[in-house]
Amino acid sequence: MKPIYAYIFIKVAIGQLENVLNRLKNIEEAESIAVTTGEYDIVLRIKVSSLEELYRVTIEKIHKIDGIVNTLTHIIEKEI
Amino acid sequence: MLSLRLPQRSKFILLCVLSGVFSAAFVAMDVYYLNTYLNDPLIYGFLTEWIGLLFSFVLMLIFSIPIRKDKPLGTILDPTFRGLALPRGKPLLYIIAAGLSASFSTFSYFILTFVGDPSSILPLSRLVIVYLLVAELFYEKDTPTLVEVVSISIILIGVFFVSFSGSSLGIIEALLTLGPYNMGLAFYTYFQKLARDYREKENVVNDSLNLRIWSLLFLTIFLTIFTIPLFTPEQLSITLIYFFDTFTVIFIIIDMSLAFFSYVFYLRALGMGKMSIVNSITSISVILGIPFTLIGNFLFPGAFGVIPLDAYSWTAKALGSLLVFEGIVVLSVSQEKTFILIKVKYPCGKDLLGTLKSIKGVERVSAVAGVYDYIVKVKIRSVAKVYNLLVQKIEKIPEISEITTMTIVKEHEKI
Repeated sequence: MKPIYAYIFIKVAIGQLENVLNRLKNIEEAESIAVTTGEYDIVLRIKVSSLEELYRVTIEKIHKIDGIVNTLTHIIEKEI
Repeated sequence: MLSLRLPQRSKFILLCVLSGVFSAAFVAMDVYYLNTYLNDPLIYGFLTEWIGLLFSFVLMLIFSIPIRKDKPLGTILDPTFRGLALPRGKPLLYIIAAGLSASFSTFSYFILTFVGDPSSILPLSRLVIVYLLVAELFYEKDTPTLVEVVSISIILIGVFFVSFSGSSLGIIEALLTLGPYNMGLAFYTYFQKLARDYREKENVVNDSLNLRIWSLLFLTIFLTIFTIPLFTPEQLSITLIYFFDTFTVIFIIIDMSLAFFSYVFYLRALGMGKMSIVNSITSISVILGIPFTLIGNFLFPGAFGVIPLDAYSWTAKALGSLLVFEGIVVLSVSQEKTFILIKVKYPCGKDLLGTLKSIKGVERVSAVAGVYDYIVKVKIRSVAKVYNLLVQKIEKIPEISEITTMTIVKEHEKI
């Protein structure tokens, strides 16, 4: 089955960035993690096998990390 | 080497430098063998490729042993590795082309060592950087920026000073160096980069370990076709004797293992950056050649070639090394990456993927479902330029209604 890729924009509470970053690095589905300036603090790119798994990863792994204030998920439909 | 631990920038430099360290080591071993054991580059080259190829397959089998679910041992070297597998489709064609190009440069290297002294020819392989820079000039998406041209020139001047030995090249050596030797290297790099960057299909085999082993296979086949007609019957029998010589076999196994790691790191780096930059940073091997030669000569006097000991040579070498380091540092700190988030005007009847991808510096365009419509990843060498690119190119696209930029300050990526 074709994997699903998604970008997850993450807002982090002040002073929690290093902590959140270290937790994210342990997520197996993470393809890349970028610390950014601007509207969001972290852009996480993940690769999952289904929407079900995307749900599981966001709910069980990402939302449980202390210091994350807000997330915004974009599922990639097509990419070049 | 763990996949997400190191920031992308450090990982890229580390891979290039590691590749340089390993290649400095295996070049020193080649020189040692040719100077002390068997002074016939043609036979040595033939033996190296075949024994190296056989042993590399053994290495590949070891790296294919699974350590965790779906994770073979080789993921330590390259997280995208999934076991020994023959690539199919376009990547296979690129690998065959890379093998053919490499056989040209390897073959002319052997011819060169017949007529000249290898230590004065080897640093000239850095000329490939100039070819790659020119190639990138014509390839719209990878046009070198001013910072890159300046720092690469600094590195080349440094390499020249480090390796300047005062010996001169004849016309045939010069032509061979300019022509097949460096052209072969340039095309090898180009085809390997094409194979490494190929992502059009899912589950494509283009990890650095498989790229290395299969291009080595084709290199060996082509090289054998070129070498066999040049062998005299005498050389053929010597080759057979040395093929069963324990010292030679063990020596070549160590030598080619170093080459294996050097190329795996090199290919991984190629997937992360421009060809000219990867080759510039691996130039550090020219500097590292100095300690290898010094230590080697201390252990086995004369086996690693002569090193001039006068103050002038050492000043040139020290200054040259400094320039190479400076160039590498500038290249590594001037890289900028940015996400550009785009909203389009509704109704929008146009697919902007192609339009956005054609803009210089755009690395990846994703059409997404969410608040934004497109996420563009840009890789470029100064903040001012990112701004220019935004204003001039993207804002001119009439379908776009809103743009947000987020500059990447630190990145971890599995490549």
